[in-house]
Amino acid sequence: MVSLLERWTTPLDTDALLSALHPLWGRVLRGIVEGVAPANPSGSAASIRIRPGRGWRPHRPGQFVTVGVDVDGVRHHRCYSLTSLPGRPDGGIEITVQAAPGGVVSNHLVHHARPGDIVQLAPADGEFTLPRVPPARLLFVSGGSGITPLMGMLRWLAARGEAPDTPDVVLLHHAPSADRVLFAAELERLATTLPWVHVEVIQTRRRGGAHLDAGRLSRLCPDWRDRETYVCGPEALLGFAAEHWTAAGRADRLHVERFAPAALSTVPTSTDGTATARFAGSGVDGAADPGTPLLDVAERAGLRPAAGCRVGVCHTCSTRLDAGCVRDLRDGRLVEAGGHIQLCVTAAAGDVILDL
Amino acid sequence: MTAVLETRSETRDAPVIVAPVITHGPDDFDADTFGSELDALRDGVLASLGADDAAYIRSVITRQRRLDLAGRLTLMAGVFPPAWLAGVGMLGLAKILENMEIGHNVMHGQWDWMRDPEIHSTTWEWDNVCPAKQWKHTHNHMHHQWTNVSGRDHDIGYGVMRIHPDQPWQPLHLVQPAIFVTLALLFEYGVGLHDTNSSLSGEDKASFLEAAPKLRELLGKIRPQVTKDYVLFPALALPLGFPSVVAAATGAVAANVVRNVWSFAVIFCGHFPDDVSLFAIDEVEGETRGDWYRRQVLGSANFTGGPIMNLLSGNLDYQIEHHLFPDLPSNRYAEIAPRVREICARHGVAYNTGPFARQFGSVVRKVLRLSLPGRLFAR
Repeated sequence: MVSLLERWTTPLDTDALLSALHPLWGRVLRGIVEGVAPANPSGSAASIRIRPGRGWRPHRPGQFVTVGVDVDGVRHHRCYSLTSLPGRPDGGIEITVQAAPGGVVSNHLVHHARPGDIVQLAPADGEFTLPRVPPARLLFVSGGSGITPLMGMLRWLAARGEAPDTPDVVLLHHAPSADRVLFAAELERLATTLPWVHVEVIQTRRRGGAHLDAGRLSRLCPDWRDRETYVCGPEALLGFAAEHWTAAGRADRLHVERFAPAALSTVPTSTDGTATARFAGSGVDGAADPGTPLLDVAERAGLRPAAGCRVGVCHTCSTRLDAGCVRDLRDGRLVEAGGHIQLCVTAAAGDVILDL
Repeated sequence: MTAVLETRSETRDAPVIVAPVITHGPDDFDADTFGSELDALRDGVLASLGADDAAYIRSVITRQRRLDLAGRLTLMAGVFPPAWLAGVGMLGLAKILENMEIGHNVMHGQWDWMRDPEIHSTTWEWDNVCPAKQWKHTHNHMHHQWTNVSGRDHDIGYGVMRIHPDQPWQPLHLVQPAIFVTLALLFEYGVGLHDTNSSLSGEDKASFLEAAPKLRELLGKIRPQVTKDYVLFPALALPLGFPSVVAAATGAVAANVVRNVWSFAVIFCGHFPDDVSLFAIDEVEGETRGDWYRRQVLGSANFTGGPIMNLLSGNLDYQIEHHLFPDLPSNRYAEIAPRVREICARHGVAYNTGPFARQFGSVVRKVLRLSLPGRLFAR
């Protein structure tokens, strides 16, 4: 049907034409921002309500969505946990974003997102979710914005009402200070109105405050060994949890979620001081030095990429940079992964992965 | 500085020595300073690209697509002459915008910095019978890198016309006034055949067998374009009766001709007016960035106009700025043009501009005069 319709829209696909009529009508999944509300007292975080276009399938509590946001005209993609209930009647979803120092996308979303903005969406994803029938006893441990997937779960549990299988939930949340606690008011309300929810907020920058350790865990949640545990937060917290639960022989009860950028963790690391260019599509690696155009690196590695002028004019050799950083040999500018680069006028600045 | 232009004739392999090329500028031209001043201009624009630029191109694209659809729907009622005219106007304008301000510039990579896969040089296919891939080869690579270099830039007369007095005369050129008119009317087909045709000529020319895949690729693009314009959309008017189908089809033909003639005129004003220089291959060997910039200026010509002309010509009224910086977003050419002109003036590099009528008039005059042997009019 679609391919038949595209005989009328060629050389465009139907999505291009439909989205010119309305941004959400196309087949490409997009969303429109409907509301932005502060998510903590200091205003350094915001909950963003988005209405997805056709094709959005309800998520499972705890899953994340990849959002493509245009900042200063340049598209960036980030993953954010969904904090809304799945399958809301109005079809909306919500993410909660904490502005990170120097964070291009998070600062844009918290401080500059406005109703009517269009964002790109990918289907909800992630295995950090609750089973359909929740375990009887749960422990949630979070730090900073790591509370967002857990909040998605908690809201889902709360919305089920007083079902016979309502679990007992302990939430240990860490935040630098009281005004930086995400969902502070809602957490307090849940803890006071729902007898099966116990919330402990630990202020890590306050006098006597500290990060989670074995003693504090035993004090705040003595039966932690018997609880299905979900942890999300900074690397130190995840590291402590992995070590502690494994030592106690309870690793099978531990579920963790990392917010670290996935792409960077797959950059091949050089061992001998020279950078490596990985041509992911061909499965070939080449030695890349900072003065040699990546086009030459690819050709020396035995590849024959499409190329034309070799001086940066014609864009024939444009190739997507999937990871790492390159330097434009014409003006010395550094270009980060996520877009296309001209192989003939850029050299690797460290290890890179190219879609070639 | 005097150089001898050496070019190969289309039919023989022996080099043909033709008239000497006039000097391209003062001997004390400081290529390095010229180059670094233009580089700095480019860097300044790159650093300032932002949300307003992205909003500009997205708005042009959205409006163009709506206009295209509105024009085609209006042509359904084409049995009424005012609707036919309005439909032709809308669809013709939509095709002009798509090819010139959008397609040509997107395929140059002007908008790649946005990292939007839908507005990207690697993915764009335009509403034109020429396949994007072939266009990017003859235009972005051969024409833009080797602008006005004999034997390399196949856009000098498109291999069928004598547009510069230094090109050797051939009997074919006697009929070039007729070629000129035909090419204007059917310009997209000329553009479509250009890559195949130029691969059959030049230093390392291909055999017909080697050129066949390009021809197949071209036919593979012509077929859906023609089917859409002349069969599928007119067929939607079938419930209104057969005359409506015919009116919709003739309207689509007229819209394509409107686009063809206008884009032909704009493009012919880019490199063919009086005083545009031609270069020999040995002149450009070892050229520095500054030399390359100077050749782009001397080999191109602007024409004057306001914001509407900028939009309708895809900002190719700033052909010089476009050739200096083919991958800078076209909406910025107007603002940098005074700076470019000032830099050129200081370095003694002639900056060729004039009203559209004068520039196009000089092209017509040359086409007529150079159809006969010999050089230009006596001055």
